[in-house]
Amino acid sequence: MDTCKNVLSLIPAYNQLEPYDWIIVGGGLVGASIAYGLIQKQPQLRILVLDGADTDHRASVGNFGLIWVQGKGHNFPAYANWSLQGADLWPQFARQLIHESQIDIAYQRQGGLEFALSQQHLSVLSEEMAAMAHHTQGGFQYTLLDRDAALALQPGLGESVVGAVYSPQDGQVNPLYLLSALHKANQLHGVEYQSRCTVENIEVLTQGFNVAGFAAKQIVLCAGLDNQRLGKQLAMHLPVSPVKGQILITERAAAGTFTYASPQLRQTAEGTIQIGGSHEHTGLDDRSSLEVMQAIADDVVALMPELARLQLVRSWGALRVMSPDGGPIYQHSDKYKGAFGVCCHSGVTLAAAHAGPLTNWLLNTLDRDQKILIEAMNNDRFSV
Amino acid sequence: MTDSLFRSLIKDPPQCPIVVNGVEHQVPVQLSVAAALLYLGHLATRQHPVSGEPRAPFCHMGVCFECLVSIDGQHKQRACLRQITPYMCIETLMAGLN
Repeated sequence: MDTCKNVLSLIPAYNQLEPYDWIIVGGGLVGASIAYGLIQKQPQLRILVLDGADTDHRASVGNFGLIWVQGKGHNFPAYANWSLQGADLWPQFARQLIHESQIDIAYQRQGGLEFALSQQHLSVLSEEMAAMAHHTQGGFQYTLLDRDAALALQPGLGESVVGAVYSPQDGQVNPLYLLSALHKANQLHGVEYQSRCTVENIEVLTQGFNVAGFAAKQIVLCAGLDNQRLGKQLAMHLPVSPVKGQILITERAAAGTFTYASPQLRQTAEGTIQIGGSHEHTGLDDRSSLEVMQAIADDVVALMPELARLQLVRSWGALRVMSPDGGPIYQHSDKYKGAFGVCCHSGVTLAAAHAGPLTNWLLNTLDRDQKILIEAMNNDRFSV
Repeated sequence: MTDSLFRSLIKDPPQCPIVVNGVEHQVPVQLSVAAALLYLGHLATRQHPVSGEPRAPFCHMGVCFECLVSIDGQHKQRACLRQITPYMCIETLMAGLN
């Protein structure tokens, strides 16, 4: 929008003639991770992150905080390998980010549990895990647990739990601290940032692009649900749609009330139990609803009956950025050189992969195998 | 308990008896439970279940959940959202219950 330009043009430094090397449209986890990776690999780059308004749909401030590998890409080998690679890059990524930002993002890789409430569900999970292990040449590690084995890991499970899958490769993080740490580190590295800058139109110049009054040689769309609209302007098909998830927050509970990561619940470092796992197609309506709140509370009490004694203190809904097959989309524009689009609903799990190999892909400094892996996740798979 | 840091703005306000951790006190009427505890010098209302550190009323508007106490046998009540009533029984610092 022109308002960004008007405000910033008052600051002498912004009246620059040289275009930015990169403009990143979107300051959520995806955009912030990519800016972080770019500036670390090439510190001389001039990068501008354009962020939206606080009231925009922001998956990055509403999500659950899992670094989750289990089941991701069981029918999409590139995505399975990418998720695993992303999770494996996380420990080093977290160490460096914490060191630079001085923000403890509460990263833990204590492993994850996916619970089964029927033998049939357990056998479906078993097949999915076997497929993932196959796709990753055994890189994905997991153990199928019967009820007794699951109880040995996590006491207090409800009667209806017949088993679980445990993977030591899953983990969790505080997603709000993660976002904050990325922005702080980016700022320290000299990445420029502009908030409340909704991008309506992208103008293609003879060389590069004009975005909200700023010129850039290259541009990455990381605008979540708005990528579909903005992608069209750069001749990129970025099919994403909203899938709502609702989250319940309990009062603080004693540490160790729930030890592992899981799609239905996790315990934060501060003691809060986070409850989630709903999927709804309600368009851009991100409100929470009593019906779904009751359903996910019932589900979690079936998994862990003693949680029923905890009071709920907060709830919210947020919109996942979902592609047709749930996998990420990494796209470059065939028509406009230097334009890229990045879409995914796993901004936490893939943060380290986005700061790592994905920025090598953007900079065209990737080895052949990694390039093939990332380009297997472009939008060709949606063409019939 | 510590010497109170708070005084009533009204001179000689009407008083109401309440019972805090088994001891009867007189406090100005119409206070919230959180304000009454601070008036009496009970700075800490609960212990954090993870760190064990003492916590005190922070937001006074029902959001932070730091002022949880037991009131008349009901655990985990937000002291800032409840008004005192005569002979209300308030328990603070109940590890695991507040």
